[in-house]
Amino acid sequence: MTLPLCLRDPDAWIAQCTLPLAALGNQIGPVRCADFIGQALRLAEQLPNGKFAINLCENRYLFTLAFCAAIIKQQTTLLPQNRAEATQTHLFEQYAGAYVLHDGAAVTAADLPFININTLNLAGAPCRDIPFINADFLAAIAFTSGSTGQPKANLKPWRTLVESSLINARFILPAGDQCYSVLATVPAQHMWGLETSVLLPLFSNLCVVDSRLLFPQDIQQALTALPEPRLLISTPVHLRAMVLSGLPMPPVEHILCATAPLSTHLAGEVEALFQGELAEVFGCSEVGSMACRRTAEQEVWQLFDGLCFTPFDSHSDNGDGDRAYKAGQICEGGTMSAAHLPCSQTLTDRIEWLGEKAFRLLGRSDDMIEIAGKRGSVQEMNKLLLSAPGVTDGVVFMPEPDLSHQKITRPVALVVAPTKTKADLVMHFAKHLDPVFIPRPLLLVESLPREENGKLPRGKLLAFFNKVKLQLT
Amino acid sequence: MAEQTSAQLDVAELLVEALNLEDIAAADIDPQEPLFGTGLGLDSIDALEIALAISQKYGVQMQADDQNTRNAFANLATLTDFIHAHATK
Repeated sequence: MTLPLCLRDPDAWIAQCTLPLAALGNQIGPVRCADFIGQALRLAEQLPNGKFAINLCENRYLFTLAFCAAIIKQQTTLLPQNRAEATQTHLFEQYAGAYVLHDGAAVTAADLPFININTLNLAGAPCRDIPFINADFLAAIAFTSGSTGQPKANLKPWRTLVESSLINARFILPAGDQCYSVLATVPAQHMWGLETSVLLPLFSNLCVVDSRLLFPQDIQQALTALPEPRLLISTPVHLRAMVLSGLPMPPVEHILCATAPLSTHLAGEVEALFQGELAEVFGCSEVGSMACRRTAEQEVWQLFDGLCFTPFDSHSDNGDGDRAYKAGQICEGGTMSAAHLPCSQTLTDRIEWLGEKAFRLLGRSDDMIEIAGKRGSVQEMNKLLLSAPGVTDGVVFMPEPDLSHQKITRPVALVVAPTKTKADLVMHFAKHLDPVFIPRPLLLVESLPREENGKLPRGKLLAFFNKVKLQLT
Repeated sequence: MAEQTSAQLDVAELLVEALNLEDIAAADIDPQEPLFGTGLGLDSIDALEIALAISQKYGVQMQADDQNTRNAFANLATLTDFIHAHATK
């Protein structure tokens, strides 16, 4: 069985290039689907041989071109959790025949084969024939933090990506066949950015901007330059900055936000600022997007069709099989399955079921943390800390969140390392982790308040942390 | 470490406050030390927080595609100069 690489009309606008790209003859403006396919085919011809491509392209259009070209050439795209050099080297050791594919902006680890696709010539004739791809072809592997400390590989066959994109389009995009101008503040490499800013435009009527913007004024200018109707893809951190900047924003009819989670209050402010509707989307790298809600108006999540949740503590004797939960039941995790997923996936969230497709999210597991749409494991950070040379004891943990400002809560580290400096330890983390997960503060202490059995109860740890902080000021 | 000016100390205090750098004293930030990467080790979320704090206190909006902004984020001294060249309040 084969499935198309995209489902757009050859003449439809699929992307908007705002930055001059040498590979495309520095052309700026909207790109038609037929031109996109032509460029992807030309790139596929010029890719090096290999089985795996580590796609680190910063430019969203070049990322999408490279992602599709790799699929056409039957190469699996590896989507690392971060750009750290140690991560690239680790992937290269695990996946024989891997190479790094970038557009000039990435720092590649020494000794790895790489190609800067922005130095190639991709301009040329459009192609109106959409390639078909084997449905079982392993299009991508998305890596997430595993609780074991090793990154977990989540397999994404083409069938999974196509079918989940069609489901996502139905649940998170506005109805109707208007073409939306899309701006995204999230990287294409993470599952949320991949699903919304790379895959959705291949299957729905979206024209996505190539740049990834951060500062509110840049976002304001880029949005203003786009034709209406507009759609914004973002996260709570970025949306909060836009609201607090006090800058007026042009109307954005639809805003998609990854859950972190987002407060009802901020959701209301975002809707007022953009005069549009905000849909918060619940998902994870293992499954992809699963549920959404209009956060300003509703607390309850709506599970997408095609997905089925089975709680861990459900009894198998409830008869009809497709109703594995009872209304009002609170479950500590469970499994999510769907016809398009290669296997069912474990969710560690606390969920209260309210009906067949409706639930309340009561919290994520203590181990997994999420910062700006990226997920990290506290356990993994602890292993990393204890593996640092010179560290005799130490702990990484999440302090109590500062709920009053919706500011980011960062992991904190208390470290016993008599021969090391703070800078040594920060450097050690920086080699392996995305910068947002580097503990802050990282404090050197003489010892940790461990109990006789070696345990470090949370209450004691927080009290100790507060005491150490007080001594600082 | 080079000595801080009083304008630099004001900006350093803003950074410590906005970024929850509880383990760093504002007066200890070297005006010439890089803010991002190896120095203070700030990241893109910090850039967003700094931009926000600066827009609220000084009325200065930062833009990424502006070479001035990239230069401004180099260290405390350049950031302070940038703010004072553009401050509207």
